[in-house]
Amino acid sequence: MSNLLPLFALILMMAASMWIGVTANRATQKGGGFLAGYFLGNRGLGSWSMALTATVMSGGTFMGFPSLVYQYGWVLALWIASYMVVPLCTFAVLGKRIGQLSRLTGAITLPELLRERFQSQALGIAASAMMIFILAFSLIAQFKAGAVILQLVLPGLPNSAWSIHDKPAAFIYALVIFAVVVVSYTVYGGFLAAVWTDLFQSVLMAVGVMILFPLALIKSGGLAAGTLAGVQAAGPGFALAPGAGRDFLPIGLAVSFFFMWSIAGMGQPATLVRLMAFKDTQTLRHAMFLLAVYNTIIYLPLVMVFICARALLPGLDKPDEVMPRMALLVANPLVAGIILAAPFGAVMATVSGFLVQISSAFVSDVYHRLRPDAPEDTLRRLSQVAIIAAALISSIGAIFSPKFLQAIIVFTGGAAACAYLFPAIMAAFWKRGTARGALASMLGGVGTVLVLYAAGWLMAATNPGWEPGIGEKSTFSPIYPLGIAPFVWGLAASVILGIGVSLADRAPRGDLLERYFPAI
Amino acid sequence: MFVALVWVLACTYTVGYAALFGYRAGEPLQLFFGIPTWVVWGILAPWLVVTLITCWYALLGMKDDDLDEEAQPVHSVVEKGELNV
Repeated sequence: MSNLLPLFALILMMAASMWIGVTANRATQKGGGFLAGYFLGNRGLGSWSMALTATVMSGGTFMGFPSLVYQYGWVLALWIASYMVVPLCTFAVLGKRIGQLSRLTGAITLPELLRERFQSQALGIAASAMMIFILAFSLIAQFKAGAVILQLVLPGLPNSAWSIHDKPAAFIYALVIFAVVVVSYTVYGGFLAAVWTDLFQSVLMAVGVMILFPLALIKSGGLAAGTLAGVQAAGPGFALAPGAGRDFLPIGLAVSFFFMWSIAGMGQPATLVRLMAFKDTQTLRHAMFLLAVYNTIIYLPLVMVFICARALLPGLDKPDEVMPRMALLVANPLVAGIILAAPFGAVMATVSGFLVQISSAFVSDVYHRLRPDAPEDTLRRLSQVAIIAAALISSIGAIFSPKFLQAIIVFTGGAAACAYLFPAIMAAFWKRGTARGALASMLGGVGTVLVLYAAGWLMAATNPGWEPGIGEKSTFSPIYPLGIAPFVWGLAASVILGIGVSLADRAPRGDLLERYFPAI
Repeated sequence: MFVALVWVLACTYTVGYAALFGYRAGEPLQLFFGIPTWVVWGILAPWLVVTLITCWYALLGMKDDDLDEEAQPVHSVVEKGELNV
């Protein structure tokens, strides 16, 4: 019976999420129109929803990140350090202007906002296409994380019965169950279901970390014991930069990742769309306060917990499993179930948020443009089909995914930021910015990231045994020109092209500026 | 400007401190409550300071603004107006 308790906790979590989906569906129907309700929650998000769902907490935070701490040690505190400025960057820089612009344009999706602000169909289509591609890719990592957790607590599955691409039968079963549950409540509740389950699960994550932290310290004999065990097992690099057994975070990458989480975090589609959905600026200020406190109590303890994991789980050959294995090791089965529900909830929340984004990009930004008179029932059915299709494709991708989840998350997070951040800044603050400039910025930024990852893939394919030697060791590695991460190069290309092409272009029309810059 | 200043100071201090004291292979390990001292002074300390600054800015420093009225849902402007691209 005790073996079933963690599973019972996860089943409760899934049931609660489905109930939230039903409630969200009812709330969505109260507002004005299907699209605004289903994809933006009728601009009614409060402080807690904004604070705990607008940033980049995901399956990566509770699955990928712990695996890196376990592998490389204390240097991960430096890798994640820019989370200290994330609340300021996310809410204080773009918050008010994106909220204002989304109301002035009437836009309910990010591609719509860019298209209306710059009066460009091409920009809107490019933004939608990139959103579908980037988020679908990102979902692969999230689906894998969800299946990994569920696989560990599902009883009696024959691991050796059969496998696909090294993934055992138990993983495939877990993947199917996870996908069916998340798709069900997302399809039913839309944006509000994604946000509300995200909020519920974020609170659960905080509870999970708060429980896991003291248990890990006690079980390992304290932080000093954890650190020294790590040093003994992995060498002195476990307590130092650039990391244990590898040049994981040389100075160039340390600066790159300070950019990554704080600056690139501002440009994530899931973040920007929430900045379009908050109620008022007081909500924004309170969200900033809440997120500052939340990040402090989550990230630093997380590093410490998985430093202790080195002492408790030496020689783990699948580091992505360190979080659920720690929970099952240090806590009694019921408490382990509650702790496990935290990363599981994080993954579910991310998946449902991304599915809604993909669906909105396809239905609201592409289909509804072509068929403005499409009946609401058709839009609803199409939105649901888009969610199911995206989940199916990403689930298949999860079977063939690389070893470290975080490698995919860094790639997709960087690409998304290079696609949307500078165009969003141009839209919000730069009157001289033009549609061609924004399009060049978007394509140039993403193109740069893709080229550097493709170059890494080509190098590995043509030179067996090649790997970049810095950063995370993975089968999915980019090249790092001058030791700097791809998204920094992508962001630089995005800024240069955005400014250069805009200045070479005709100035925007005066009436457009009057409409969208009323008080600037 | 305020956010940019905080960001630059946080990045310079954190990465700078780590560069000076965190990348020192071969030196004896110094721990403070089990945490390497370069992490304590280079990351934990500035993290707490920035959190306090953020809390102050959120509650007292940032002013509220009107977000303007909701426009009609889109699918009107682009179709009527000329397209830049």
